[in-house]
Amino acid sequence: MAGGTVAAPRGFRPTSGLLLVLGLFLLWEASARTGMVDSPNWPPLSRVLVALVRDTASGEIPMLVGSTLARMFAGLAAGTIAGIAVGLLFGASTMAQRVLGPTVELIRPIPIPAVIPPLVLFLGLDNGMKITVAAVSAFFPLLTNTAQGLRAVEADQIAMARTFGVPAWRRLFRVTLPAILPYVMAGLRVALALALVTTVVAEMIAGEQGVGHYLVLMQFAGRAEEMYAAVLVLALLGYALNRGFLWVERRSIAWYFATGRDG
Amino acid sequence: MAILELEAVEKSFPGRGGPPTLAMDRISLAVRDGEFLSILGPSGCGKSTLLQIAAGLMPPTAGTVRVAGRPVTAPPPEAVYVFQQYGRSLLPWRSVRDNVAFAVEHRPGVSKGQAREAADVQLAAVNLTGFGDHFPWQLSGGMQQRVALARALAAEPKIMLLDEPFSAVDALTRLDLHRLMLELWEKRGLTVVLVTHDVEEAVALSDRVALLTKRPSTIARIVETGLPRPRDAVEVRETPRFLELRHELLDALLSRGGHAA
Repeated sequence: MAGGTVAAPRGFRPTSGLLLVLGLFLLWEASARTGMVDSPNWPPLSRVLVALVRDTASGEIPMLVGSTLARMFAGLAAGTIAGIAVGLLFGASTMAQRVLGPTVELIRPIPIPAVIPPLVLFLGLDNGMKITVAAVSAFFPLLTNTAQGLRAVEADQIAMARTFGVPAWRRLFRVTLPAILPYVMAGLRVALALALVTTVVAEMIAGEQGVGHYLVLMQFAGRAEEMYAAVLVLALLGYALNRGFLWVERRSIAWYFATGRDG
Repeated sequence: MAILELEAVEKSFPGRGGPPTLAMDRISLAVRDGEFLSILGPSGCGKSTLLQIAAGLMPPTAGTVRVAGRPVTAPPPEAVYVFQQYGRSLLPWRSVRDNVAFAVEHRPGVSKGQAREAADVQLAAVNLTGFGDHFPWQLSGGMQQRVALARALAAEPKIMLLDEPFSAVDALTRLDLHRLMLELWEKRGLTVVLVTHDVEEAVALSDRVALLTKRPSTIARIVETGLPRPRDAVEVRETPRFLELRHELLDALLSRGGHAA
């Protein structure tokens, strides 16, 4: 079938970046054990891993990760739909763009964590606030990329659909949306990374939920092993989400990569 | 009887800070039912614009277009427009079969399965049997243009409006497509309006050739080719009448087309 996987064969070579990661892990372990860094805040990696395995087996970490992910994806979904919708509106109506454009450009540069304190006042400390934070993070990359995708849609494809008498709503779903999907996916990838960051930050700042809260709690309690375990979990989570996303992307827009339109 | 009529069609485009530029000046043309007519003109004379107006894809600034006697305000069901850039009008996320099915699958009462069956029939007509599961970008330029033709045929049009559809392929493939086009035109009783800047193509395929002037374009004259039917798109080029017409039209193009020193 067309497209297929494009992943390059990966051998384990001496120049592989994985070796550096292993080396850094070893340095971590050694520096803590030999007293190179002598601090209760710098436990050896092995003890961090023990804490990680223990809290994973007990179900505590999976539960925390699950709740963080649930909030993140809920916000991501809402922000994505809103971003695409407003992007389409901007594309369809120059008037909408004129009226809403300046507002969007003023709100966009605000660092998302800066809106958390005011949001807490209106939405409280729990899910509503955190989902909103993730949604706002996802909104702007999707809006920008949808608008950019609309400018790149081939006019011939739309005219082609018109010559066959395809009604406007069907042109939107069968021509415009598939055509801008590569741009939407690129926006979604940015949004995914951003939403994870802002969801965790929101959890750290307010409320008693998720991995972010756990991380801060362990820091206050002076439990360094658990704190680092949470950091490792977040690293793995970010990595896994990105890999998962690439997997979906390669399959959903194989034509885009095959036609070399990505560069 | 005219199936497609242009009556005093004018098109002007907004000028940059100045008055609008007139691209097309009161063009009138009656395309007979079942004929193969070419619109021949120098590059940039607005041939494609004229065809898009005829297809209902672009409104004229003044004048009327009629298809089967009805004024055209949107793309009429009798006519389909085939684009110059096949690569841009085919949908790369759809298979060849689904690209062809796109022409009819939105129609009420047509199931996805019926649309695909219809697509396979048209793919066979353009000699692309077995390529339904491929994607357009896996095919050569000539094959992609045949997919675009199959898609146009699937709509079962009375009129096909062809915008330089053979200009983006190599010379041999072009001859191949000429033969195919004549075959389809004869078999299906189509009316074809072909826009081209290629004199030989226009003469070899057409019953009549309308010669456009450069901007603001008008019809300089209309020539009946009088070449026999059925004809072979390659062999016809060796007839004295073909050579005579080629000479005459090239002369007219070179003196009117602004190429003179």
